[in-house]
Amino acid sequence: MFNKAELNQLYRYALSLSTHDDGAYDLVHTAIERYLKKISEPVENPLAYLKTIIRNVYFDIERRKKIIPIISINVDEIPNIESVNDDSMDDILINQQQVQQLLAHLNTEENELLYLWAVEEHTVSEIAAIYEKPRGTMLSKLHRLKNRIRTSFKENGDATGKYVKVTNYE
Amino acid sequence: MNNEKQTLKLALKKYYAEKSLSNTQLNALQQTLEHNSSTVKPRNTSFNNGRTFKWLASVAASLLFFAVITSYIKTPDLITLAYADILKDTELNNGTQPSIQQWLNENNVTQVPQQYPVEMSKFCLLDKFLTVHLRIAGAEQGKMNVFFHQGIYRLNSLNRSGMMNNMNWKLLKVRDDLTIIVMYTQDMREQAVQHILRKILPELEA
Repeated sequence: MFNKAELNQLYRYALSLSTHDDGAYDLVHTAIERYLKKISEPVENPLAYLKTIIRNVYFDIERRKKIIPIISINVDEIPNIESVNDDSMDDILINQQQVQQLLAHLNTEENELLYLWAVEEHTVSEIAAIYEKPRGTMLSKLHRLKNRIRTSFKENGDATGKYVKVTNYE
Repeated sequence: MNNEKQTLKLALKKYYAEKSLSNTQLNALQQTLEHNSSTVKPRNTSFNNGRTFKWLASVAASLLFFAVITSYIKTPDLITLAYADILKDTELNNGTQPSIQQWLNENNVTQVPQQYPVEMSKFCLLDKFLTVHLRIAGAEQGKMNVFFHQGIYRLNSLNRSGMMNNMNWKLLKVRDDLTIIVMYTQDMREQAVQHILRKILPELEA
């Protein structure tokens, strides 16, 4: 039903949410069990369907813990944001150690957003479709994320071992 | 840990590429999939059975609906039999028979207005129902036939009207113990038909 590469893909997506290896594995396992219980007819895109289950399972668990790491963005913020294209964060250079630190400092939704953008290479429109939210909302989220990463780089700089910004952004 | 700096996108790709399920985790997931795939098949079968059942049910419902509609559109057999009886008695002119008048009185059917002569009256059987048949002439033109039945013919055919071979017909429930078939030629005035019916069966006026 799912090969090794697909299972690893699901695991990596789960990892973008939970950030813990064991937690990510549990998410995949639970999602697969729910998927097998629920499917009564062929699913058009099982991987996408499973990712949705993984996401729902994760947020269900977090809701029970009363930890909901979501930053909601009001729609009226959208007209004021600048245009963001998919490669707007490509001017940030970073090493693997800093990736870990970056992911540890971002919230779940931001991690997921980065994963969808960088690893799965979805466009903003595709990400908006996954979240079932307007494209403008996702642009707004990316805009905030970009500023958040840049600000962190500016504040901490290379010397602190946190985030690195090597080019001028403004 | 690799300290080589890369663009954020590449660095993230590399970070996640290095994250994989362990062999133990992979085996566990694949076992879950294999174990459940055997239970998924029957579920699919039952789903297919469910779909087949739904499909058959919808076909049956459609057929039933079609039958009901067809039976409703089709002229009731009772009307066909009444029409045949009218044709058979065309030449009979016996007026109002005493036995018929007695039956009419017993069943609270009042006399036909004098301007509409009763040309023929008789007892007959329509589809095994004992029926009183009157043929009434129009004041100036046309013929009207009324079949009285002490009871109810067929519930789904009541209070309907139509046309058969140039004769208008009505099937009316007058009261719980009386139903009538009215058939009249096209040259019989509708107002005259209504007038006669209201006079002989005051309940219809309500």
